[in-house]
Amino acid sequence: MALMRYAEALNAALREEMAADPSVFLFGEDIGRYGGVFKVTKGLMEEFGESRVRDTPISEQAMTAMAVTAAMTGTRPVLEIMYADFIPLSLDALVNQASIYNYIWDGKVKMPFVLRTQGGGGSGAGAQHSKALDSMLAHIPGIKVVAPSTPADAKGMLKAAIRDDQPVVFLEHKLLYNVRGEVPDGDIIVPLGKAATLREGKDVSLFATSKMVVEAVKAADLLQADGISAEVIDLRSLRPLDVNAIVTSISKTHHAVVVNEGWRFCGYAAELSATIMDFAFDELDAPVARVTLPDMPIPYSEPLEIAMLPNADKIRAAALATLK
Amino acid sequence: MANHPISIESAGGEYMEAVLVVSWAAKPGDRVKAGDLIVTVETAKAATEVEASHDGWLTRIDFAEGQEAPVGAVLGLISDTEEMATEPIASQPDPVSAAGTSGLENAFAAPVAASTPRATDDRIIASPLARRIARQAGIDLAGVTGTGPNGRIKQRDVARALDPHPAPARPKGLSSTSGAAGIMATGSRLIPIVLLHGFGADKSAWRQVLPLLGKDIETLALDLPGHGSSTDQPADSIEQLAYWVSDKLEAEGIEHVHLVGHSLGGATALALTSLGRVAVQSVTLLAPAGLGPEINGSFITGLTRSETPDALERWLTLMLGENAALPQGYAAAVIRQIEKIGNRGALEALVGRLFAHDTQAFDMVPALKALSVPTRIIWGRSDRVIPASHAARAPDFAAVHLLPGVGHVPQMEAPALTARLIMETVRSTG
Repeated sequence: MALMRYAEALNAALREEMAADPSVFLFGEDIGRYGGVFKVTKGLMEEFGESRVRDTPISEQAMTAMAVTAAMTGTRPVLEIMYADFIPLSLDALVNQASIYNYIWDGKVKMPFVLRTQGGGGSGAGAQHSKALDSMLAHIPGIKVVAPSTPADAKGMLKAAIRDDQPVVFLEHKLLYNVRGEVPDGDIIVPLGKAATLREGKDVSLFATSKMVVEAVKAADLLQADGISAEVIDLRSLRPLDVNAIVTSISKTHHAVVVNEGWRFCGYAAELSATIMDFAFDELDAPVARVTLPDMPIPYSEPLEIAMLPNADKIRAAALATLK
Repeated sequence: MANHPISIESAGGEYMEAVLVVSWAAKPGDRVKAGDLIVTVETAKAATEVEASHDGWLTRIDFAEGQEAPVGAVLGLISDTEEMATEPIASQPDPVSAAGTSGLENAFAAPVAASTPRATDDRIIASPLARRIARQAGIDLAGVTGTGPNGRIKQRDVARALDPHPAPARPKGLSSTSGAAGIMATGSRLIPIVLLHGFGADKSAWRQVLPLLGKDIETLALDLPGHGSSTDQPADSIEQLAYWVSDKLEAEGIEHVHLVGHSLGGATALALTSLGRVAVQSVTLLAPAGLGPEINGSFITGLTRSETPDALERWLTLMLGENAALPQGYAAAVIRQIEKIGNRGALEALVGRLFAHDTQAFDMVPALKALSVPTRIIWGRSDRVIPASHAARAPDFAAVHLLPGVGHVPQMEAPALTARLIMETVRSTG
């Protein structure tokens, strides 16, 4: 066990997987000489050389197409897109190439690449550098989308993602990079598609990923002071989704709050809500409550941005409303 | 206050989309009688007169004269009381524009007022969970008062209807209060309900049911020998199990009991009545063993031989009705329990004696027929361990309840109804 920051845990995962498998290589903007704007790739170019840690020009479209073809031809690339806001530039390679070759070539082509990116608001970075676009990515069949919330999961899930033969979009959060946590030593793998129960409770279930898990845990503390026992489920993986964990929790609490930092309309929270109705309708004692970003661009003004973002207070209010 | 919507269904032919309101024959506040002309609308073919469906007062007009109304829309309301309805629903938001297709104004638009109380019909508003519990317990929701938003009936309201006088603080799970030899006791009334679990289970099988039993009655959930926290070796026969139970009751100074037994515990309860060592006041049996030869032998062996939670879960699922799932972690907890006690071999030996060759090697029908106290048998129609058809061997004086959609463990699958039926048996003794 070692106390590590989230960014350091990712760095350790990359280092270990590169050392173990020579076909793993990294590329992205400013990830080599500069070590990445969030320092996730710090020291890796020095350690593994310029051929395995490559700085690229700004062209998300070209970079993602490169990841697809590199993966098809036998390597395990890990691509960093600096801001998730620019994922739309990668979408053609994801929607029309990476996600479908496995199907149209009858499983003969493996697509083992990881697209690391970070999104989310709360840092005053404005409308073009603050978005959580996970709903857009989780919409695509054939691609895994994961979003760990703790340093331990960040390491274990990145290692799992690199070893996965399907494309994996690995979502980080700019406000999580400095979060510290215990990380198990050694070659620990956290399987993709398994949720984790962070807090057991009996009155209401809070479902979240990434930074919203941190807010959900804070909300559970607030609710405890209200005399309400909240269960916090870190879904960890948006796709594949651990439906069993969701149904099991709701069968216990009968009340659900789903949290997502992205937009509400057609968003991931809506998908969770519909999934709950598909599989646990008769367990519900109240409508599923959604806590999301309102359907607006994120303002540059920091007070306005903070007012818009989902947080522990809003999760608490939603939980109280479902329990009325 | 009941409200009756005035509407015109498929007026003037199936291709009509709207009708024109020509004239109202009454104005809001007017008394109307069923059969009175109330509004005239124009359809593609002709003017159509709409009659009042009920006696009452016209309390609201939603489409004024000269307005077009979609077919099926509520044109107005007749109420049983003179009290005026408040908000007309004439200006329902267009769902397409509310969906936020474009523009900032949509982003800021208030959400569609779906939470406005639906005063337009007598539909019962209840949560899916409340509906499910009421269905399983046989409760009519029309008699239940909802305390949720918009008067929605929630789980708590059904629970109150099931037990109007709940104890302020029910025991929170059994383990915390377990006494010597795995005996769990609550309440204070003189004659206790003794609950006997099934093969391979333990007293926690009654976890869901116990809090739902009346607060003024004492309950004792026992761990049978070789099960749960009971360190005694498993018995050799049903009679030995019965002797063991009667010894425990004697040690507790208990002479009168109401018996509840599930599966193997049901057979044990019947054997106990034949011993004559305790005075049995009533018997409630859940899918009892011993009423016929058939039993799902692979379930029993799977239960004793599974060594991983995943394997055990496959077998345990057979306890439930079709399409039901075990609570998460249940199989793992059972495995831990078996390993803790180290009684796997003993359980297998018991299986060999009681259930060899997929056959129940003991007959409890004579004991059942000899009962002279209130007797009730509860069986899930979807029982995949012991067929519910065995309930047909019950004597005429026994009440038999066959629960649709329920498997081998009614106390887990339909706890509210099971608790209610146990209490009805107990109370029937006066």
